Amino acid sequence: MRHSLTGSILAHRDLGDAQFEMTVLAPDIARDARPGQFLQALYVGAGGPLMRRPFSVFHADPEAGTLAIVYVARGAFTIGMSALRVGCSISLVGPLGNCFVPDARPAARHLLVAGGVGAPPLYFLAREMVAAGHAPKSICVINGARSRDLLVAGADFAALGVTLRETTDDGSAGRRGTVADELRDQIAAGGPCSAYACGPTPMLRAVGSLCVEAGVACRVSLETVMPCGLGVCMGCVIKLRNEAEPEGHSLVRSCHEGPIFDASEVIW
Amino acid sequence: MPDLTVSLGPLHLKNPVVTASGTFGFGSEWADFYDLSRLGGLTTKAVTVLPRRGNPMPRTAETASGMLNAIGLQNPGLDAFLAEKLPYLRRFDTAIIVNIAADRIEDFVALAERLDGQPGVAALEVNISCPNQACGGLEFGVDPALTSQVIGAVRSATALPMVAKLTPNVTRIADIAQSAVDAGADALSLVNTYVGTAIDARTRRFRIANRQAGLSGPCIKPLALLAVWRVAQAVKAPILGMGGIMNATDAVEFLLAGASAVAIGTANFINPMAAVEIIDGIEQYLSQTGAASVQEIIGAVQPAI
Repeated sequence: MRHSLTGSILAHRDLGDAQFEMTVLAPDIARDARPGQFLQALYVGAGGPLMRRPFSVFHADPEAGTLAIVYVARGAFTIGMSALRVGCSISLVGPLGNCFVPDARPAARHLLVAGGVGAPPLYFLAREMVAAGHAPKSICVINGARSRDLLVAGADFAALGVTLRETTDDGSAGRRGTVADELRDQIAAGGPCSAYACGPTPMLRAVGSLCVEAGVACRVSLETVMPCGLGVCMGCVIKLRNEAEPEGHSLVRSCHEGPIFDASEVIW
Repeated sequence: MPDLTVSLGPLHLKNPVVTASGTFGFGSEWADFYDLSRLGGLTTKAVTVLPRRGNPMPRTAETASGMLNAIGLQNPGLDAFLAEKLPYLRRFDTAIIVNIAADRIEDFVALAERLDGQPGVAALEVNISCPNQACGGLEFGVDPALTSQVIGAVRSATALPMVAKLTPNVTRIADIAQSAVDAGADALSLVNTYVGTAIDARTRRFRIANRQAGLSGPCIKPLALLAVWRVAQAVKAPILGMGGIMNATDAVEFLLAGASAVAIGTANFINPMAAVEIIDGIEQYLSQTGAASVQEIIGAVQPAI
């Protein structure tokens, strides 16, 4: 169920490199949020902002009634948000959208592919999978960015005990290259596996194409502008293959039918 | 308890708050937030004869105190509306106003004929801001004669209460309003969005694929409020006022300017509870100011000095 509420900021940590982790008291949303779902957030600032912005849930603690998001302060909205102090309130609508569903095959390896600020929902997925009894070693997180300072949630993934493979375009951390390079090797290692990806669109396209060619199921979480996030404004549509349509595709709402889609159905 | 009931001609509303077309889908997306029966009315997303795919992305952009949109009337078409959307809406005790759009008069007529007599449809809102195919894409609603033709044609096709939705992108909106009323409109809804655009200086590209888009949100409220007041002064027809209403105070201002009811649009995106908070806020305003009914404040604005 979706909720509209105002929550108090309980913690707001500067993680360095313009990254912040915000924890909010929001019991209704914390209870219902699933990995991959998002929130529409808005705070009161002088002269703006007017519209909400979507943020994936980083983790939710139903018992404490708290929710966390991790974000990078790089636009007017997020820079303004990073100045909010503990005790301030923030308005949240959520949880919204669909969620990641882990591959149920007992021997499956789970390849979680994160690019930059795409990491938070995959951290939530990894955390919930470990809590649900998946062997940490069956979960391989491939976390990539252009450079070391742009990697998100590295220490959090490591603390879960999952296999962590980092990549950077410039080689400043982990493997020099892209998450797709590492994913190709992980798939080649053999055995049944599924991929779950979130990150910039070019990365998702590369990851999705690679998985489709290799016959690996791949769910991608798409990042689009979402004016309402509620399924009514039609401002966030993406193209999904649909042979029944004369154009060969349907235009579907990434906020409502998504944000997670089967990579084989997305027209990039 | 103040009396919240209002009328838009033959369309009676239990309170003066309606959701605006294109900002509320077909209602089902709001099921978690509140009972739709609380609303005075609900205006559907525009329905066209055939399904419309809409414009290419990007379709929206936030601007200072507002947003631009060029969705292009993406909707499932009339058949799907009747089969899949209307049955859901029918169960609520609220006035369902179906917004209809077309680029040919024949299509407006076809929509009105099919919707006439459908259980659950309380009124039609005719979107005359659509480009007219027969006139090289000129919008019906920018020309008094074209407005008269389309409203007159819809009037002949239905006995349902009919609201003409006016575009503000004209020199004299009261002239268009008068044409619509003379041709048989029972009420007027105004304003639709103001045309505008946005450009990204960094990428040197338009921020909207369609280039031209409609501006809504609090930045248009003063413009909309004046349009409502002007039309209320000039034309003897009830007005559904809209344009940047974000809270109950904004809504009361539109009522004072002469609107008989108000529509909540962009505010739905920002605060899903906006419409019901505005209903409660209007009631509170009436109680606090000693007004016995909404009717008392409609058009009650006084000179500044």
